[in-house]
Amino acid sequence: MKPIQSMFNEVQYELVKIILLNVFLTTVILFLALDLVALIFNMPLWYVIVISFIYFTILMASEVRKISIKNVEDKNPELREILRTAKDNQNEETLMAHALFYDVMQKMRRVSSGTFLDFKKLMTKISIIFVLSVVLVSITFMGVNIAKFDNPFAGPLGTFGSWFRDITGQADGTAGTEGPDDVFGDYQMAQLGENDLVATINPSLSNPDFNDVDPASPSNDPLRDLTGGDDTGFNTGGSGFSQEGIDERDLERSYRFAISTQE
Amino acid sequence: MTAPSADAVKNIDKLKATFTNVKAEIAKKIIGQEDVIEQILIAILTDSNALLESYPGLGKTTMIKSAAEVMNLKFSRIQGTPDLMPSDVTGTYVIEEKDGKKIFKFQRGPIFANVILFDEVNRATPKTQAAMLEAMQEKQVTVGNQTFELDKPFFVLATQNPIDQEGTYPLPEAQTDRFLLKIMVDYPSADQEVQIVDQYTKVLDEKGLKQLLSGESILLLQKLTRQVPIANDIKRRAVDIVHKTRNTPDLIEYGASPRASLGLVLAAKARALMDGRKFVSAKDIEEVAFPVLRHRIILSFKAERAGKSPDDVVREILK
Repeated sequence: MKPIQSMFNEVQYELVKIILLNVFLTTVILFLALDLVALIFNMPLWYVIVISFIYFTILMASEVRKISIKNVEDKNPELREILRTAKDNQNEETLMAHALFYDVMQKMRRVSSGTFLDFKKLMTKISIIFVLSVVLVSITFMGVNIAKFDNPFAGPLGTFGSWFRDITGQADGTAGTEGPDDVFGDYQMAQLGENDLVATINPSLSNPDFNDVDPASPSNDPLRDLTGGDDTGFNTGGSGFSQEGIDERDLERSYRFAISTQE
Repeated sequence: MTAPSADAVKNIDKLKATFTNVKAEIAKKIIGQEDVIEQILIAILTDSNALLESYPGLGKTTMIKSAAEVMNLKFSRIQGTPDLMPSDVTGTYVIEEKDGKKIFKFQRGPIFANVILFDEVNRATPKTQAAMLEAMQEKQVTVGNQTFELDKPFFVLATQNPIDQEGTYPLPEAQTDRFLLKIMVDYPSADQEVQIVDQYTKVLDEKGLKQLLSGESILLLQKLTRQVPIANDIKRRAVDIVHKTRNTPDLIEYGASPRASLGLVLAAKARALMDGRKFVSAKDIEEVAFPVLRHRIILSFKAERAGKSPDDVVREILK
């Protein structure tokens, strides 16, 4: 390959690198902004990731297509017209063309890839990223949640959502829920509603038998399921459901009955 | 082609100095008129011809004679008159006695030179004009059954006077199209005129000019001119300008031919070479657009009525 062609390939490579950096920063800004919205409106995170990815791909493709030697010329006025002339005539083998290539190579030696960068733009983007990050962290700490997100894609994209949740380990902050009316905790709990729950309760309330449940629950102890296990804080002892509490109420009732009959 | 040596490439950089010296040398005889001198050099570098329009007494002959002298080229002058015959220009067969025998020998006309000044071309008959223009185009003349190649380089500078049109044969548009450039010579400024007066009234200057180029070097420069690279978008700009002359009916009745596109690019290349550049700039195209296009467009009635000149119209097209 001729040196001038190698030089143009190198310039192209440098431009792609700079475009990649710019597009990446723009995408990060978009990602953070969307993440902020997602956080406030309780949107799933995968929406943000997918939108950002699509944006990155489209922007990168469009920017790479727009790559032109003119961009380099704009940043380096001493190369104005000369660079594009050299590029358009890089296959020429005349003396004048070679003299031009020689000039271009000499001038390009003095051009650093840093000149292609728009530092003002770059710093603005970095500042925006910084500000958005700070806002995002603050809002996360404050737990701002304006509204629950009503998933408009629940129908067509529902399957994809489930799949995405599965592969991401349900990392979208709505673990174990299927919708706004879901029960938090073990989602299998919701299946209880499909069976009949029959409990025999003593009308005198003297001997409630919560173990006598016919056989709707997959578990033998519904309270155990409701409380999520032995260690959780549904303390039946202090709730009035203890045997002692029931006896005391019976005593009180007998007492009130005795008084009323005496009267 | 293998890559040229570094020395050859570096020699290209010296071209600007060479042309600066040539212009400075011509300027010893001609005060001012830098643009005109530059356009004459452009015509020579592009191996083309130029039509020069000016009032009498503006130094046309001195100018072209000086250019020929600096470039060490053979100069000849033809005065256009109504009785000028084609054979007066091309040459003719004359009877000559050799070894007791009478033979026809071709006597070369004034056209057999490198630089021709055809003064007042519009005073010559159309027949003579056609013979001259054919020679300009083909770089050869045919007399009888024989064809004679003209000297190289070959450059014709035809002049015409914008006033006093009586008894003239204005060049048809098709023939003016054969001139790459139409150069307009304007009057010098008052200061320049004082310098001219000083230069030509104090002493009789018989000193010749330095010969800075030669016929061979001109041919090499003509070759280099065509090699000057041009960017595609600038080429496109040149073609668009010419196309616009055909699509502006408000101002132009008849636009320029594709020969104008060739002329624009070629003249721009020559201008770039003289400027020491190895590429054509958009500014080159815009600068040469005036001399290349002004004689190739016919203004519309509306433009004529508005008092616009071809240069005004070209200026509007360039906007």
